[in-house]
Amino acid sequence: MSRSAALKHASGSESVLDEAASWLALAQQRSLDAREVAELDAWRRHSEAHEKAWQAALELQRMFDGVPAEIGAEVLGRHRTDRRAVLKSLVALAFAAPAGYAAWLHAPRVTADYRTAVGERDDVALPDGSRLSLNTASAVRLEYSAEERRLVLVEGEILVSTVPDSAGHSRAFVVQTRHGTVRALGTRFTVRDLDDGRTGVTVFEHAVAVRPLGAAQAHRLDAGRRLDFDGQQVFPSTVHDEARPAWSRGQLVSRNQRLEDFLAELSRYRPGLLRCDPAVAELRLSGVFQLDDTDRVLELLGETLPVRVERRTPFWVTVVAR
Amino acid sequence: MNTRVDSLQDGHAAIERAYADHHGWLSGWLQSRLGCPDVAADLTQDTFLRVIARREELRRAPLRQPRAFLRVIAGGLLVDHLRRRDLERAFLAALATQPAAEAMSAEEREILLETLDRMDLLLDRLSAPVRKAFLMSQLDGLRYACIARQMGVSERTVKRYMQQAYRQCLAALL
Repeated sequence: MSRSAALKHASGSESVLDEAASWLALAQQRSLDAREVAELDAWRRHSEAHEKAWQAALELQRMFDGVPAEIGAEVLGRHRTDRRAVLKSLVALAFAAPAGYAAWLHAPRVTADYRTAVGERDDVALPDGSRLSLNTASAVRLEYSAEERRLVLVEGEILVSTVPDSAGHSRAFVVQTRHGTVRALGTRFTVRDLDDGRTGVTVFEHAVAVRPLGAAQAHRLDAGRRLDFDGQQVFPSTVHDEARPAWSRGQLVSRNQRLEDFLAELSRYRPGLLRCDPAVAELRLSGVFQLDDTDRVLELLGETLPVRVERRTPFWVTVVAR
Repeated sequence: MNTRVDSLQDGHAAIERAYADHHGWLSGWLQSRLGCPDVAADLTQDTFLRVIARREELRRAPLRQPRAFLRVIAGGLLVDHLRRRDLERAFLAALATQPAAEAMSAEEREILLETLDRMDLLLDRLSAPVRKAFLMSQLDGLRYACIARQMGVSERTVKRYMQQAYRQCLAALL
């Protein structure tokens, strides 16, 4: 099919852009033949908007031509977190701001200091000697200053084991999420950015002070308890009896859990889609599962519950009734 | 006539008051994020300049939460500053490791950095996979089939990515 057939000479500015993009893409893939060059010329003469779009195309091409490939690849392709992550971390800014000013948040990417991919976990020592574990698909930015040791949880879940400050002065240790802050009171705890617009906190040792962005006062949470909070308030805490989070041992523990909830949890550790057929959503299961082999976990489900695992592709898995 | 003068003065007074009330807080907030008092002072200044530029609008609709407002403006400047700093760091690192850089004059480097900065802003509008495919094609000169293999997507998807990238860059340049 010739290019001309694919190009419709419409006059709306949207389609002019689309057409200019098509010409650029074509010219970039191979050199144009004489007939196509003539066609492009005719296209440019079509209107002032056409010619302007083409000038912009040439400018774009010149920019790329003026950059040595290796340097361009290193600088422009540098690893950065995605826009969504930055927006999340900056939600603190948008909070309570007049809605119209959300447009201010044209946030480009900012580096995350520590990051894990889906299914990955990582343990790191922080500059002050505190320990940080990242659960699957998590990102953290470090903002240590003279006044405090601040971790910004960009996404995912972390386990923090703090030590008294080694820098000679006792700086506070604070985890900031998009909903508020969790201040360590010499302690071990997890913070998780929950998908439903809340942050979850679980304390394993000592205590933390939780303060939602919009709250005037902090709420103390002691070891053996967990709670959720959003930007405005803290929700009632519940008891847990774990010494440390199961994921930090590479395990997923369920106790009489609904299958749908279990699969939602498991899907955090697997790339792709993991769905639960509503017909089996209410089945219950208990067990300790190894996170390093989620395919094996799915297999086990078929052995213990009346379910079957349907795989359309490796990345699209549905658990259905057997 | 008089009311207009009064309200203008009101506007100035409001900004002066905002400056007096929140300047210290804002520069502290910025400093805790930047760790550098000089840059924090610059960004604080820039934030108030932007507030002044919008004084007409603010006069008509006074702020109920001035700190939230200041934080949004300062946040935009902060993000921009961090992006530029990030870019410069990557640029310096690239210069240090790339033989192509040795022959460049200081001026050429400056021009290259400015070009990269412009491109970075353009590419910033693209989603991560689109950006990746675009860079592979534009900088490495890879064919769509090769990009498709490396990214684990179909060639048609790569084509779609490229079309989208070109389109968004052009829209930004116009």
